[in-house]
Amino acid sequence: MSAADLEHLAARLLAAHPPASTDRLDFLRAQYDAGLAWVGKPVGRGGLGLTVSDQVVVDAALRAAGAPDNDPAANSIGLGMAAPTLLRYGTPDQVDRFLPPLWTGEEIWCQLFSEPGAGSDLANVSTSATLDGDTWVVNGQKVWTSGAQNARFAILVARTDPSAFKHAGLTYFVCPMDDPGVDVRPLRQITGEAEFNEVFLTDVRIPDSLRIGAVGQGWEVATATLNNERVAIGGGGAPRESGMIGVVAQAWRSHPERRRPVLHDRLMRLWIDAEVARLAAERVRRRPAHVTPGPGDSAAKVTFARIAQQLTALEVELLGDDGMRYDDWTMRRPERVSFTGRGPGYRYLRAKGNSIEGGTSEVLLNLIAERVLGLPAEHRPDKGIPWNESAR
Amino acid sequence: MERERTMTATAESTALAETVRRMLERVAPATSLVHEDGLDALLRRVDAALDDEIGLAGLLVPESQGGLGGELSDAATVATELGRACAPSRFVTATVLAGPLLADVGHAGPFGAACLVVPWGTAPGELLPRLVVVDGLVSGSVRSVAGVGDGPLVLPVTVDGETAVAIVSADAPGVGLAPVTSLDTTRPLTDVTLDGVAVQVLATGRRAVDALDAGLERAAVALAAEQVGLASWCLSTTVDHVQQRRQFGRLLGSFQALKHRLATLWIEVDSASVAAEAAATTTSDRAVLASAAQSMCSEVALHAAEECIQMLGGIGMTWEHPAHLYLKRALVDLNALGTPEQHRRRLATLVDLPPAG
Repeated sequence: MSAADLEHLAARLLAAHPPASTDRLDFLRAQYDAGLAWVGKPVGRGGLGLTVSDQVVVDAALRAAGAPDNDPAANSIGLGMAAPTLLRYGTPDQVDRFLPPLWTGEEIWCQLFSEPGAGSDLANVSTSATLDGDTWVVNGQKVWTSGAQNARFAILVARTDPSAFKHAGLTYFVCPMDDPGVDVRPLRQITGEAEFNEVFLTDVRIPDSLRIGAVGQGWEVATATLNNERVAIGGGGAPRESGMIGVVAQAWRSHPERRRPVLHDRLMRLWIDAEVARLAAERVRRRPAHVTPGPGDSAAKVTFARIAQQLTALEVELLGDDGMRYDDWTMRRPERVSFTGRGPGYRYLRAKGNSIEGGTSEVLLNLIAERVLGLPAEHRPDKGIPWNESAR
Repeated sequence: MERERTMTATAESTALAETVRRMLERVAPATSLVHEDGLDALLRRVDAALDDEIGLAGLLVPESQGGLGGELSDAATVATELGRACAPSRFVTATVLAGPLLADVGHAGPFGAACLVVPWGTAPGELLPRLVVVDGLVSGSVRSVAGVGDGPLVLPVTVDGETAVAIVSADAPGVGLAPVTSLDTTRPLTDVTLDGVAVQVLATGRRAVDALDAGLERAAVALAAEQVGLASWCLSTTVDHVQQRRQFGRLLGSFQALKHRLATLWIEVDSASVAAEAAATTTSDRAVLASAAQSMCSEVALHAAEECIQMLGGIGMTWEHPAHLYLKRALVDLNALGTPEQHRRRLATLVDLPPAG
């Protein structure tokens, strides 16, 4: 489909639902039904089966006409992780129920994967789900859950068979966050704010109809989610000098008195790295919709984290005296997170998380070494024995 | 439509890469590279195969001037394979740089294995011709020139204080060509001396400056592609080695210290290939992407060659294994057509990030 065709479809949507006189949610629902929500997704699922990058044309046309957007930053877990997973592993009924309000932002999603004892070793989750009639009863503790306080649903990985091998005993669920057994507590982090939560699950009841994939298929489903997360975190589609490089380049331009030759060369190296990372993300976005994220996409995330950390350190150094101040240590629960928001100290501290969240850089390097280069796997003493007999 | 064009272009580029790769495996296998006596003959065989057998002579010369009217991305595809094979060739210096440069200044050809007489370290935008034409004659010398053969010599000169492009045959009276012992034996360097040589001036002023800059920039893009090929060979050779070599009863490739280094290198090579491809395919943003690619690909190629030497262990230190040729080529190419730092400075000006002071 050509750009002109897409613009035509956008114009038709705008004509039928003029943004000025249409309720915001009504417009978003109509956009979804027209397949213009995310054109890379299948027909009937808010898309047209095109490539992800074709969305740019639609978004530009709609924005120019003053159409509302679905505030994607407020539901990044839903859009970036839950949605592709539901599309791949959900039943048609599940997709029909969850996808439209997920896309419009009527229902916010969060992620219940990590646990105190299951970080990099995610398959070690010990949150249990046991079947009671046709309802699962879930008990355990999750951590690093962003947006849990606003979420209507969570994607959840729980252990349904402790006597099975570690990866085989897991099942993937949609967890209603309004269940009385869900207790969300803010988790304050090094930036001073609480972007994440701990989530305690006590006898949370999940109907079997909210299971995604088969019982015991949870690891495979979760892996698909995580590959999407890495693309989402390392992803792009932005113009040159957007993101952290834009912030630091601007600091360089507005502080001629602080420029030093060695800092300049470091800046130029990082400018190149950031530009190439952007071009690499473009390459991913131009990929046909049927190509699913794989281990090679982890490279983008490793690179993104490195560049963000080096750039933020450079900015603090560039700013000298001003780099020694911090905007505010007050504990707060931000509604949405921007890695480039607030001050240079915040940016530096927050970027430390970039190489930890969504798979540490070390784990991702293992993944690339083993799955892309075919090097031998790490020694795994927990392999080939039932999960409840392994040393934890 | 756009996507269909891209896919066709990708398929054609893959076919060209395969053709060149198969030719190089036959004509210039790695084992042939380590016999330094035969390198000159090897270079001629490689270029004859590229020019005549595959038919790439005049690749970047417009059809209206008797060339093939090909794209720089085609040249980058060929250069990548030359780098992967570490093959001696004048493809970059003649087919990419000097030949189309002559066409740019209106020379009618034939272009042969033309050679731009500048130090191989000359960066785009930093060429200051030091040869002066006085009464149609040039005297002077240029050190460390790559690509000198029997084709015409293309001389950046000044005429009445203006930059100009001149041409002279390599066997003209007063031309002295002294081969240099090059650090990179796969890309021979020559010191060129001119003693009262009568030259033909082809263009002066803006036209000459633009043609010289564009030529060096094209070559920088092709060199980046070559460096990606070189780095890819080093990475895959190293991965193959650590998959076979055992110490302490384990494959070397099972040690996480090496796995992480190789995964990091894979990321670097992948990034370098994105940078080189972007520089070769852009139509609107060549200067920025060329310097970005030269900075990145130069350093990635050298890093890949250094990791290869280290992880091959003692084998990598032998003359018999070709890894040292890749290391030497990567090391020299770090400086070739501008150092990475020179390219970062050039880039800084282009993107408005002024240096200190």
